Formats: sequence, C-alpha cells, structure tokens
Amino acid sequence: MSLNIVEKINANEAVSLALQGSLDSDTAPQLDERLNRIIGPSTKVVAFNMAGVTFISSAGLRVIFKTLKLMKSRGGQVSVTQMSKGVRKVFEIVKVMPDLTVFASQTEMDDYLEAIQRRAEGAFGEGACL
Amino acid sequence: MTLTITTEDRVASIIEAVKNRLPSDCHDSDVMYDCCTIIDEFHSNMREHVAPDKHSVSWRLTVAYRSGVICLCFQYKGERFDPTGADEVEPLPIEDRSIGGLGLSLISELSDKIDYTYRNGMNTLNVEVGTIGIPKEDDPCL
Repeated sequence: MSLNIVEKINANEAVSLALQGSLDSDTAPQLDERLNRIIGPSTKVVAFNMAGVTFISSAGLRVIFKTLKLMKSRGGQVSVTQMSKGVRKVFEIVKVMPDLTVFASQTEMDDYLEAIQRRAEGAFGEGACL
Repeated sequence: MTLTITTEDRVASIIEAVKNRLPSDCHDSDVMYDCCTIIDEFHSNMREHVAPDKHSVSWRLTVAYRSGVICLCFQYKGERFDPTGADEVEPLPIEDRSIGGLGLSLISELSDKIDYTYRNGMNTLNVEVGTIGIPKEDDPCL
C-alpha cells in the first residue's frame, strides 16, 4: 500500500496533513520530503489526521519524532487525530503519547488550528500598525 | 507457505503476498496491521544491517494461520543476530530521545509470542500474533 498525503491547511504557523495508507520504510521518506518542503521558519504546529493510516513502523515514527523535536524546539507542537487502535498502540509502545497533542476529532483539531491562525494573523496585523 | 523475499522488494508487495496466504477476514484486522509493522521492521533490519552495502540479500518468510493466530517465521543465513533482546523504550521527553532504535522494541512488544534460534548459520525468528487476544507469555496471570 502506498502513502497518500493530502494538505488540508498550509498557513503561516500551522500545517495540517491527512495521511492515507501505510507509513512504512518505503513510504516514510515521502512524508519526510513533503514536511521538509512545507514546514516554514514560522511553522509551530504540524497536525496529522491519521484516520487513513493502516499501520506505522519505526521508519514512520522517525519522521514524526523528527517533526516533534523541531516543533518543540520552537515552542510548538505536533497534533494528531483519528488514530486507529493499531497506530495508537505503536505510539504507546514507544511512549510518545505525552509529547503529542491528541484531538478527539478532525473538527476539534480544525477549530484549534483556525484559532492559532487567527491569533497569528491578529499579531501580524497589530505589528503592521506599529 | 514460504515466501522468498529480497531486500530490494517493496514492503507493500511483501504485505500483499502475506495477505494472499491468510484468510480474507484477517486482511484488515488490527492483528494483521501489527503483523505488517513486524514484517516492515524485520525487512528494514535486513536492509540496514545485513545488506548495508546495497547488495541484494534474500530471506524467507513462512506464513501460517492456526486457531486464530498468525504465525510468521523469518529466516536468513548470516551472522547470529538475536532481535529479541531489545529493552523496553524509556519514557523520556522527546527532546532527550534518539529518533531511531525503536524497531526491535516494536517487534517484541507487538508479538504475543517470540522465539529466536540460530543453527547451522541460519537465523530463525518465530513470531505469533493472536487474533483472539492470547495472553502474553510474561502475563503475571499465567
């Protein structure tokens, strides 16, 4: 199974991706490459909808960990929603759940990302008036 | 049923071949996806450690389904390497962690039963993943 990556939001501070397929040793480089391209210097939140992810292996985890380290170093975060039981189990085995912001639904995550974006635009607007 | 796999094979094609050897009601089950992760970890390990110079190396995967349990037998000729001794992942904050070294822990943790032997230059790893929730060997209730 291949990996399909759908960009849902690619804004100033937030990037949101929906993943479909397997996040394995053949497909993880594809996600890594996409993230390298879309994460900008001001990106602070990377959000993943995992509803379509059938399974994840350590190669996929490495990409998530790398992104998480980068976002944490900027005071940001990695958010996930709609993990399958199997994907959640893998995240729990590697004890990464405390470092992730988990949303119960895509709607909840979208609301959060919109709030971040509004705040960023507001801050930009205020700065522009100075 | 035994598959001969090379380190050049794509994970998706291996998974497809494994699914074809299992009952269809297993195909999209959580247990099957646990097996997919285990297979990818073994395959990655072969690519990175047994065939690091990019020469193609073959290994064998025997797949069986018995009484609700998926049995995977991984075999390859080479130096002895026991993948069952991985430590449990330490609960460190992400800032203090290495991003690698998780594969062997995943193989052990996702398997309900795991057994390694080395005979006549052949590494053999037997893994069982239960479709009906068989208890772990180290379950204190046993």
